[in-house]
Amino acid sequence: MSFVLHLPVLMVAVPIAVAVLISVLLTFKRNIAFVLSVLTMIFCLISSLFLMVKVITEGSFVYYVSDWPPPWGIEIFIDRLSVYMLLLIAIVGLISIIYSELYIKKVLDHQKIPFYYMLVLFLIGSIVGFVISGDIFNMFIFFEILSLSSYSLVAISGDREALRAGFRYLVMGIVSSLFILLGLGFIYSVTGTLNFTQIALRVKELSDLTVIQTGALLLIVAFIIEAAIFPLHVWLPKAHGKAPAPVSALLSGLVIGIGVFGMIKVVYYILPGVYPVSFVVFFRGLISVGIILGAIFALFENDLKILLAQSSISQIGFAAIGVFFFSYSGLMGSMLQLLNHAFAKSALFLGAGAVIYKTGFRNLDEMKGIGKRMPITMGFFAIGLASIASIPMTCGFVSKYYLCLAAIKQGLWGSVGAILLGGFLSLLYCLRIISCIFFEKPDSKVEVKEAPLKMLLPLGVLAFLTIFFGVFPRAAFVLIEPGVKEILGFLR
Amino acid sequence: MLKASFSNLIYVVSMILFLIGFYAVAMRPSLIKKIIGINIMETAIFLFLIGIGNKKGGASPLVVEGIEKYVNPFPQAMVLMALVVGVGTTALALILAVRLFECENGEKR
Repeated sequence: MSFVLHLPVLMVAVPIAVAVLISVLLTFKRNIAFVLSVLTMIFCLISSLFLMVKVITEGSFVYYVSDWPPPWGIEIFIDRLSVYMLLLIAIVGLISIIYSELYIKKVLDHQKIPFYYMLVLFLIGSIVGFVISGDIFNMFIFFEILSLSSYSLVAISGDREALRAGFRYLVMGIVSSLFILLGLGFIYSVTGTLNFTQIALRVKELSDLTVIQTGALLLIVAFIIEAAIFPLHVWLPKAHGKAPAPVSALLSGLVIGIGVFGMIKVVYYILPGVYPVSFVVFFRGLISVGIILGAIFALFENDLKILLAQSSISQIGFAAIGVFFFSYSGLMGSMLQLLNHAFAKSALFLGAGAVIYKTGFRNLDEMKGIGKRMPITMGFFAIGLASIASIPMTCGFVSKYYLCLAAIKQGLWGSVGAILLGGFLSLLYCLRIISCIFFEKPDSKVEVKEAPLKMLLPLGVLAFLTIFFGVFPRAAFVLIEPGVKEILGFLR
Repeated sequence: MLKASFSNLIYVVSMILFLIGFYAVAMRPSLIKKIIGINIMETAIFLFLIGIGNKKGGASPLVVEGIEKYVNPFPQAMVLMALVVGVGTTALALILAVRLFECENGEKR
């Protein structure tokens, strides 16, 4: 089974190589671009399954690219949590690519289609690279590739609103990546290394922690921009709302989740347990405000995709607040919330995309009673909404249950209030959408049929996974539970 | 205070440059000025990284007989990589700005 060791590198290299191949050779053969990207994603899914088996049986491992040890070469670090993220990436990526075949043909000029698949593959490859890299500088490089491909994907349709959203995202994203560069400069200046394990060792020898705390603060601020947490979320609603639906699903389900995973990496792996209390309380306060404000914005929004993007701000806040509890159940809730958000929010964006594909409607007012016309599509959509509103039997309930439990155990009543109020407001906006879609009288002039099977199937798989991990959350615990215990062991 | 800032002149200068760039990005409405601000911020960080690796009286990092003291080459390698990335992002930002300008003025290529 020694080939499994090489799979993480291949999961980065293969999507990027196929992307280059598509852009150079295959610009005229549109269908081949689609088939190749599906094959690439199937490869990624199979390799992450292999990695899962390897990590469950033998624990985390380290891989040196071309056998160069850390001070010179690139180190790749695989533990249970990164394999968990790899699985999420592979599943959501495969589903979005399968879904995009019909949708993209409708919304983009046909000469842009190969470039769309190229950018999506670049995005997937760089997310994988970000998750598995073992030093901060590689994280920075993959973060840049990730951001460049997401800016281009947001602006790909070329109309004015999309270009504006893309430019705003670009400015915020570049500032965020520059903050990473500055932060790693601070960390390098006192530790002399950028490798996670070596930094953690050097930090224990230091007497004065001011510089390293500044570095960590800069890195966390950078990931707060990327994860769209409260004061720095302004780019998100337009960027996710104006992008094509499968791109919104990828960006909302994976990319902002990656921001939270980056925060986990900084807080637990790189600089374990050197944070002053005021620092942590400050971040928890910001995130709590974000949870409530995002839900309130979503309550008063009329454009369905922008509404979903606003709700992403609130939902990703739940995932981020667990990072700053520094406890077992807090981190468990955070990881489960990443899973919930990846599946449920992607299902919601794909469902909204199916409505746009069939009717061109974007506003909630126009969609009155559409659930009676497309019952299956909107049924899957409603399952996603239930998970966002944390109804029991969906994985949204499990994650918020864990988060609330962690906050109560530690006596953080402000956070408990924010989580409960945020959950209640999410329930309100989900009920608003459901009552509009299912219980209003449909406009009799419009004749709408069910979405085609190629779009229904991906939606169905996502809805099934949402329910499955709500009923059997233990299935996800195989990876998360030992993984969370392992990284909590790094704390002093 | 003054003496300390003179001996750490490179850090002070890079922080001032960083803040100038940040001001341009955050406060100026013009897209081109935002892009220029981003580039100033980038340059400031490169200066900072080079400053970290610097040693007083150190030679450039090429092994030569009789020289004992070299500057640290690792931050220089990082800056090279980051320069390449910065060129890419600036190019994309300029393309988006041009397309946006064309859209706003209603002319197609």
